[in-house]
Amino acid sequence: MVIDQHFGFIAFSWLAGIIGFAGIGLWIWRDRKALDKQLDKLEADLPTDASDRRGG
Amino acid sequence: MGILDYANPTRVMRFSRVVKPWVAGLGAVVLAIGLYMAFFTAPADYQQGETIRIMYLHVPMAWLGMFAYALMALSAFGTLVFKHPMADVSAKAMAPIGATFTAICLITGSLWGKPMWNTWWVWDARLTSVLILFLVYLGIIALWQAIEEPIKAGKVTAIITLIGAINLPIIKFSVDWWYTLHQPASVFRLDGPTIYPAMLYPLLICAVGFSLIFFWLHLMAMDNELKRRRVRALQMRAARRAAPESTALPAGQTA
Repeated sequence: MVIDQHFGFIAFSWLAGIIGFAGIGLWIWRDRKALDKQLDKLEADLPTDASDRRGG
Repeated sequence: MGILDYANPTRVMRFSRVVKPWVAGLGAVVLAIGLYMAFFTAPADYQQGETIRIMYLHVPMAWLGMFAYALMALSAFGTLVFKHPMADVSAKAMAPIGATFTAICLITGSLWGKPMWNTWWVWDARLTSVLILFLVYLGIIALWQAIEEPIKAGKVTAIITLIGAINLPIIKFSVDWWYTLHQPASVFRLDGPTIYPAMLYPLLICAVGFSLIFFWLHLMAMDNELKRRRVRALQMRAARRAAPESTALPAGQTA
């Protein structure tokens, strides 16, 4: 690849791609962390079979 | 046992756990090869010069933006016809990824258009129909957020998704049906690709690499959606357990 007068357009295009991929990846990863935390808390609060007579 | 019976949440999560690292690893390797070829072995275009390097990102994003929507439409069909619980999980997980890919396609297209067409944007059929695809994605994401009950949200968004699928053939054939500034198809043509092989192979390899990354992101997002539904189920269960205590009448008082 030769760096010519259009290098800025090429660089910003690929930068947009990198930001887009990083953005969606980070969003999914943060969502996963938050859900794992919520699940851990809710599962810890689950009653045992003997104490949960209502069945749930 | 039909093939649809295999797609239950437990099986999907087990499959996803095994497949995800392989898809991500293979995607990274294929993409690295594709990018090396795109930047170092593929020649510059005789008319466009080095700006042709934008094609190796722009074109796969356009294909995958449309492919994601086609898969969403297929899932929507599965939701409405088979009432399959995994269909709307797949569709909901797909929407933000498809929207991101379409946004990258629009941005890179604009950055390619300025040096080649001397304009950032033109309201021609191809560009406008892709912008509509992006707006439909945003509408579907907003609809999922607006309706709290997942089954009802799945049905409503499935209907909207199927209506929006009309846009897919419009995008594909817009360059043939109308006179547009955007060039006609040069890869998926009945008479074969017209693009020079030294550019075609890096493009196809990049497309395969991006597709694998796309599937990896989709598997991750589907895992998240299944977890979100489990959280909701546990919260409702906890609320049901707590409800009789909070609504119980004071001692001695009868209804």
